[in-house]
Amino acid sequence: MITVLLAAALAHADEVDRSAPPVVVPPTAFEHPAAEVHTVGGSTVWFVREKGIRKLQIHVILNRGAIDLDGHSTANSEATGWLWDAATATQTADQVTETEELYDLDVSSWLGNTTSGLDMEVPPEELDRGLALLSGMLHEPTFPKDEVKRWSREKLQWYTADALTSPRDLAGSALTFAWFPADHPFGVRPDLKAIKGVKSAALLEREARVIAEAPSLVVVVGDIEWATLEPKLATALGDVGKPGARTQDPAFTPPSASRWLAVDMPGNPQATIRMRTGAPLRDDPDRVVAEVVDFAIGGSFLSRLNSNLREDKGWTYGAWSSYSYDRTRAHWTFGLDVKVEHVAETVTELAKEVDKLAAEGARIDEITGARNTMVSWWNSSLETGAGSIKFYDQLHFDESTVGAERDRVVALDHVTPDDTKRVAGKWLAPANPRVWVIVGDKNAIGQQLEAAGLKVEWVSAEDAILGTF
Amino acid sequence: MSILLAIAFSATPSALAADPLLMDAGPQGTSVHKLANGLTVILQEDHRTDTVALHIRYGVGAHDEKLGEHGCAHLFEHLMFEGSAHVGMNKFDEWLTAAGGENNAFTSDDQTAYHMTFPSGAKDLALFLDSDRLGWLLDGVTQGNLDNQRMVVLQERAEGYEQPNGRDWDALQTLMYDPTNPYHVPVIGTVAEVQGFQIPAVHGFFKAHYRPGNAVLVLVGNFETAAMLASVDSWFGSIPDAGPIEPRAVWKEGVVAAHDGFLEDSVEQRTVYLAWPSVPLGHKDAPALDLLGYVLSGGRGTRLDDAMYFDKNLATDEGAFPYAMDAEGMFIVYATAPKKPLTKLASVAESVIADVITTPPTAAELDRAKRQYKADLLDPLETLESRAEWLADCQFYDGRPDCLADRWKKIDAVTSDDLVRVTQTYLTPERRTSLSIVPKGDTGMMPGADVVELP
Repeated sequence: MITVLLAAALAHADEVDRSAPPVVVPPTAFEHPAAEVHTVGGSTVWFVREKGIRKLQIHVILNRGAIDLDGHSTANSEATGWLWDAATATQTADQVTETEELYDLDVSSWLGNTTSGLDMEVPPEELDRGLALLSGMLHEPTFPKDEVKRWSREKLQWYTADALTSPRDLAGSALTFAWFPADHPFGVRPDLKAIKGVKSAALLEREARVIAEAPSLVVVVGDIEWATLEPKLATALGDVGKPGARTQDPAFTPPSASRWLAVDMPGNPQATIRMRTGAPLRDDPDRVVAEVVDFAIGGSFLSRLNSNLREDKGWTYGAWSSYSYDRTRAHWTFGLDVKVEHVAETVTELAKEVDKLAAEGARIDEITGARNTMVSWWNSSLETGAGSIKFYDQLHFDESTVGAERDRVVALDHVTPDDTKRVAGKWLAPANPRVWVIVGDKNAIGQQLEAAGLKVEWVSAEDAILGTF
Repeated sequence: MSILLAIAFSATPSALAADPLLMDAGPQGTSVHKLANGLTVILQEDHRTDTVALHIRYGVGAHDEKLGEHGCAHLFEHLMFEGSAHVGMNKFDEWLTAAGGENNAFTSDDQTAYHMTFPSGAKDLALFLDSDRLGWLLDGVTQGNLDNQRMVVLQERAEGYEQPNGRDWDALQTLMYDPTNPYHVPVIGTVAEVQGFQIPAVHGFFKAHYRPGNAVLVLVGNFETAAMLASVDSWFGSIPDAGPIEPRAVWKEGVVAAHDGFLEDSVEQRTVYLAWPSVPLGHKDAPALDLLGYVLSGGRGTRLDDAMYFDKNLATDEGAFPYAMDAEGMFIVYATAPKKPLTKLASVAESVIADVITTPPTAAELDRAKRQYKADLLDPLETLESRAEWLADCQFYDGRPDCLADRWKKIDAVTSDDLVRVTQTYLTPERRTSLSIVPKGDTGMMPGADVVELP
């Protein structure tokens, strides 16, 4: 029904005062609901009833991941995560796709270091069909040979050809391999022979022995009554839970010395710059303040890097920072692209901004912006079904609770400039090891870097992608 | 109050059934209002979070640029953040960020959009900022800002173009459209024109297009409709009505006769794009072309995807889709492969298209395509920001925000015969243009292809 209302036009709008920005009422952190914890068969289920969302979100998280090799190659591990959702004993790959497309199901598999899983979005009216498909993937995946071959072929194509022409991929790979040793899951060098040799039978074996026996958690978010959901989950997923301890994240020691790498990309008029340094771990008391520091240096449009290098100098389209952490490793990464003629001075400016923040800490307006932005992110974390389940998944990965995470958000209220000075001074100090990667044309940037006193190790694109430097 | 007209799309059961988008609307449903100065305002309450999404859409894009102005619409996507009469330089972002808000913008061939999300307590700040740049931007467009943002835009262009396949799309449009047609030039503009922008011309462009009557303001989120409408009117209502914009020029030439072009790029794989001129937005054949895209390339089990990827391993990437603008449209098929001759890829693609005529899509194929179309439309609309964008789209193209039911009705009405007919009408061999993207020094482009010079 459409109602049409007509109102007479009146003369003028109310006058407003434009002499100063209007007063803002800062957001306050919402109280998000904790998940209901149920046991269904042998499975633990976290359930969150969320009204008004269109699709149910069902995630099956198995606490075994890329590092649980059990005699297999990393390539086998990766392929399992990629191909787990391809087909089942009762549905071919064609039939799986047809079921997904006809009934608005989205199923995907994934692999982390210590976890892996299957995710599904399903309209409530298609729940039975969706759970049957999910159950088939969990209990009887088939890893079709054609799909395995395609995975190998495309993976090799990327490592041996496509990535070599992408400056951002080259920079990312070189940085990763310079930062993480080969025996850390993030630093495992690609084994092209193993990738080529991945076989369906090996994936089936690994899945049956390593994955199917993993301790698990099922997370469900959606607009459905638990009483309706429970028997369906019991039928489809009631037996996926197995006893056992969760795989722990591997230990990691950051590089102990700074390093300068450059990847030659002849003829490229642009250069890609990355810098990485250590940062507080997820459970480090400095983490909340570090997030504020990250916001100030490169986490918002007017952060210091972007203000300087884009808004003031116009050298780049965008400069950014990223603070990434988990239980056992954490780092800051800074990045941007510039024309080759600005490479050396950009490196200098980037370092100068980081050093300045380390020496002086953040300003009060930067702290306020970080606080209000992060409270807003928190408040909108349950805006969508996909956002909600990501929130609860993360609690599981972090072994945290809604209350603890909210406390972290509330703690932003108490961050002071002195706190940021202390944390930035500790973690971003110029003396801390920093790994720099510059991807660009050696002929165009070599002399610049030398003139600036930067002694870089030149590596080839192939070595950057394969980590053989 | 200077509200001229209000239309409420009430969230009654019948409305729910008619338009799933209104399912989440608050007690006031979705309402449309017109301020006395011509600004269209769409409001939709959603109280699930504390967030409000604001989207303001201007009817100006590359379409509206004359020679010497190419890139000017996009340039404003930058200048609109640099300050206005009552908002100092960089204060737009500084104040909004301090309040916990985030914003961005995009420019297309036909429109420019500015969007933000903010906590509800920053409502007046957001309205102040966006109204000030509509009403009083030019006080902030100084020579210094212009110089700086010209550099940033040129760097944006350079960064994009230096990524693998970063020039494909712009090259395709350049190839398809006559130089007198504004769609011939990339939305981001030419280097020479961007370098040449001067204050008087830039001011003139703004005055010609940034008018309340050429904009739609959408707000979705945590507010009460009446109070938000009053606030909108307070901040935007005092902007003078500059009158209607001039009608868009109709260019003499549109689409160039079918031909073949190529571009060398820093890539390892070859790609071929086949493009046929088709129909603009809103054309009666647009729904059939949309569904043809799904029948050809809707994933495993669809015709082109199976022939080139899933069954035959001819391509590492491929697809088919229509692209429609206000005044033109194309239907595009593309395929990428490391070593295969592009003629082979093109030949397979053309054969698959010809098969649509000899073997019309089955009821099952059509049913799947329709379901995919609807799901792809609905899935992203869960976020406040996407919904605001969608409501603006509907208002611009359908003249009302609740266009989903109508779009679905048109999709449901498409038959297999329609797909055959649009294939026969538009996707004929003599109308087909091709663009080859080849590695530097590679000679594997389509036969007779000329190098494409990007403007």
